[in-house]
Amino acid sequence: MFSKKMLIVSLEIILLVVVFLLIIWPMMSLFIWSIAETWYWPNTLPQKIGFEYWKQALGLQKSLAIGAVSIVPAFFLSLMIAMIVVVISMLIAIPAGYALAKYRIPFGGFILFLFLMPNAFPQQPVFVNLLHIFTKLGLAGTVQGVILVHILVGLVFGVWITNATFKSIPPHMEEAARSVGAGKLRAFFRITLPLAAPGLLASAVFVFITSLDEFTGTFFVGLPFVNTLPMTLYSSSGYNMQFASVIAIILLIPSILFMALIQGVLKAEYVGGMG
Amino acid sequence: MEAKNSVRREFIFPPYLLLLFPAVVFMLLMYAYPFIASFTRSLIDAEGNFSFANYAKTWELYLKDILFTFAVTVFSTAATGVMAVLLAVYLRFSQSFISKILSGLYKVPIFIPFVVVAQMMNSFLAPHGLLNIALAKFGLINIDQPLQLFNFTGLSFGFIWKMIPFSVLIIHGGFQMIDDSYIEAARTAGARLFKVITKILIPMSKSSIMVALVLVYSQIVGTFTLPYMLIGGKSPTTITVDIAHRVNYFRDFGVANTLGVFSYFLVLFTAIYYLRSSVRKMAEDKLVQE
Amino acid sequence: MQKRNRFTILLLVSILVTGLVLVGGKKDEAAAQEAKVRLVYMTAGDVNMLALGQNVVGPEFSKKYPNISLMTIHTGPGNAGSQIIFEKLLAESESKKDVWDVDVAMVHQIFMKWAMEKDLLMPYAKDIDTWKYVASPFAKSSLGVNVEGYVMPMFHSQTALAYNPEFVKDPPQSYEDLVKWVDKNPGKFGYNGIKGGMSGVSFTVGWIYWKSGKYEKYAVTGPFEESEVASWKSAFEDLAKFNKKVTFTGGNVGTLDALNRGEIWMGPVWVDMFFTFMNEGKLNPKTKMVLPEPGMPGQPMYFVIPKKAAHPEEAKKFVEFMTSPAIQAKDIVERFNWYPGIDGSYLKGSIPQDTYAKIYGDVTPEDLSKKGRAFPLADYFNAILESYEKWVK
Repeated sequence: MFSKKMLIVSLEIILLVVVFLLIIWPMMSLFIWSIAETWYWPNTLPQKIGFEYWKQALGLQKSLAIGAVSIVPAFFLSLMIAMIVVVISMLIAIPAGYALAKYRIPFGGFILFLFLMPNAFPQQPVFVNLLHIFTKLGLAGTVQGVILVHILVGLVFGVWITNATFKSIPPHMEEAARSVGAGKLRAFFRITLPLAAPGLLASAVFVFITSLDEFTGTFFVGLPFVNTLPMTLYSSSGYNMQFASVIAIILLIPSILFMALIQGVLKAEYVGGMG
Repeated sequence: MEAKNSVRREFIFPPYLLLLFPAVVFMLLMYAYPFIASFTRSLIDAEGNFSFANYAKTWELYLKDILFTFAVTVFSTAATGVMAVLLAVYLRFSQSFISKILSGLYKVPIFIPFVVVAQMMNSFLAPHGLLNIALAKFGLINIDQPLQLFNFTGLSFGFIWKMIPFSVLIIHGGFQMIDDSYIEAARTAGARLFKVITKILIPMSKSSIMVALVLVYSQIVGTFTLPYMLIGGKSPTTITVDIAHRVNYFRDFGVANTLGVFSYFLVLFTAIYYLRSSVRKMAEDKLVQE
Repeated sequence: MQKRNRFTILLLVSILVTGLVLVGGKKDEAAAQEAKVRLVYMTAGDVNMLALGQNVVGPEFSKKYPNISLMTIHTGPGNAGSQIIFEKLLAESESKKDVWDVDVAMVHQIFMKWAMEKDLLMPYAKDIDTWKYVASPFAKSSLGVNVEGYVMPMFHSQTALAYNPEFVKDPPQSYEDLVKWVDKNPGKFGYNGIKGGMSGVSFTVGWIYWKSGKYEKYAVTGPFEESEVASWKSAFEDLAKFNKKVTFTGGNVGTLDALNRGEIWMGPVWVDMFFTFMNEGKLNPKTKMVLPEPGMPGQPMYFVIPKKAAHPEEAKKFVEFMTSPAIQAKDIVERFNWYPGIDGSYLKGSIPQDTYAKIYGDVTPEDLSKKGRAFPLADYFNAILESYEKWVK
């Protein structure tokens, strides 16, 4: 018994080390590049390190060869758009996911697939068409237009994950509440919603991250006036590794904060939670 | 699909319509028109006539790339699925301190946008990048003959790296919903771990697993940044890179949209399996309820 | 449970409200800026374009014209960047708006063909003062399309082969020598084929110029004949053989990165990107360049003004400013290491000696005039790209 436990623990430790390496090691290149001022072969590590690029990225220093775009405003814009998108998306996705899970709807499969399409069809050709439509409607280059695009791609995760979540809830729970006289709405809010909460919040997190990271559609529809963080990343990516790495690291922050926020709200009340 | 023998309160007309209305209308407005426009565009050749010329050209020039995309997507999705289930099982059963650390650690890639993952993998997987340099330092490879990873292997690695955390989150969530009592019951009845996984966990969270796989599959097919940075113009490459090439150099929307249609069908065929089985499951559930 | 629910809802609602307030706030801010003229300048090209617009030229321009503020938008590198600008202008033209969002744009040559076809641009060049400084044929014809009066070249960019002198002691001086070199050094030459970056495209075009010997017909006079395309078959088959001994990179930056990491010893690069990488510490300062016989293509980038730009007069002032000898010397050549868009003779004396030595060190002005080619006419250009896809696989 003793040795079995030791075996399990050592296996767990190995697993931890392997996972740690696999996740952190590729990220190291990001961190190293963000502080590399001079790095060329054959050095394993940069010849010269510094926070030059961080300073330029944050606008604390003017840059010459590297386009230090308005990162800080882009950051806040991305954040704000993401929050609005999450709220609106979840407001329409939760009922839709619930309906598709609980009721037998004609063409239900087709409707579900409809919500998968933005992922299925490559973005560039479709978003070009969207640009033309939005321009006619006066939505091109506006924040509202960008928000609409983000909701579009967010609904994929919104509807599918909420759908799966509601499907996994045994129907007899809600039935039990109904049989003792609770109204439909009450049963939903008191029983189903709390049970589904972990899945719904996971769905919200993905919608948030999708909005924060959304690039192609935002790019087409947002030019020239809307500048989000992924767009600044695209601007510098592939050309300036240092700058791109800095922006990439900056992009991580809101997502992690949002997740922490959600996890905080989601504490002990709910069995298991999402992690 | 209509229920002939009356199933209790099956078609309450207003509720589900109301619930679905905003979402479906939004999708139809925002997406249906541009999508249909793309579809029809693929059927119009350079002279403006209805024809399959674009399809012929796509088949001639890009068949290899279409197959490559399909292969990478299927492989990455399958590998992701298997590893995600295993990791989720581990997290479901282990209450140790290590599993708590792992449950936070594994989530990290979720927060990294694809465009950043592309950058990272470009630097990490390069012939003289971090991976090869480290392997050489440990004497595992000769630095003059480094691992060539800007291909199927590296691309799959990048996709799997990004998609496993996403899948684990969903699948583990599904596992969480399975009450301990089921597992206890099976254990007391003498079932070993493997049986518990295959007979209890996986079947009971089938919808979560399927959703994860479908979403992973469709995300991989549509990704542009990762294949662009790792493979770029080399052959074979993915459909998304070819689309960008057609649009940016030739403004050839005919072929670009045709490639999009191929990509769309790649997803359709796998999704059909899921959708059919989910409709069937619903029917089963309803019957069970009765 | 109740408290949690209420808290969550409250939190989400407050976020939503804050968001809406911020959005609304932004609109007011924009309105306040209306007092000044905001010139919307959309530029394709690499990220140094953005830096140029935002941090260098923008402030200098506003100093000269205090009532105009420059808003620089960057659409991305390569033809993709110009493609976006075209898409944007096309959408505006189709929507029949009276006044368009973009005032002035900076684009690649390929944009001109698309834009002239759809009549999206304003003929402005002959109205401005600096037109007299422009002498090169590039200002009148872009890939065979007549653009006289519609463009002012901002700068000229050239491709060449960069090499690591530590390993390449006797660099090949021609394409022919290069083939022999690659035979002896397999895997040490790298380029990106024809997808993912124009440096690879440029190398391929140069290859066809070499093998066919018909540069004049393909790039200057035309006409386009299908029979010419058919005659390239053996040239591409030779290229396929050549490709077996090269390393493929992902694009312009891919080639430079690979050079940087010592994975390859030679590859085609854009001269200005080469210098920028070196300035940023991403390329060994000892790396050198050579322009092989019979030549490799280069391209200008153009300023254009959309037909219904909101502020055409201010846009013209901006282009005039950017093409004035003082700015060309200081910002274009000295700061960013491009070749000037206006005729070099007007800049004599304005460029410091060591800058001159650096830029024209490896690739001399004689080299440029003899071996600096133009990209071929649009139809030949497309044919080369498609033939590569067909015959080199």
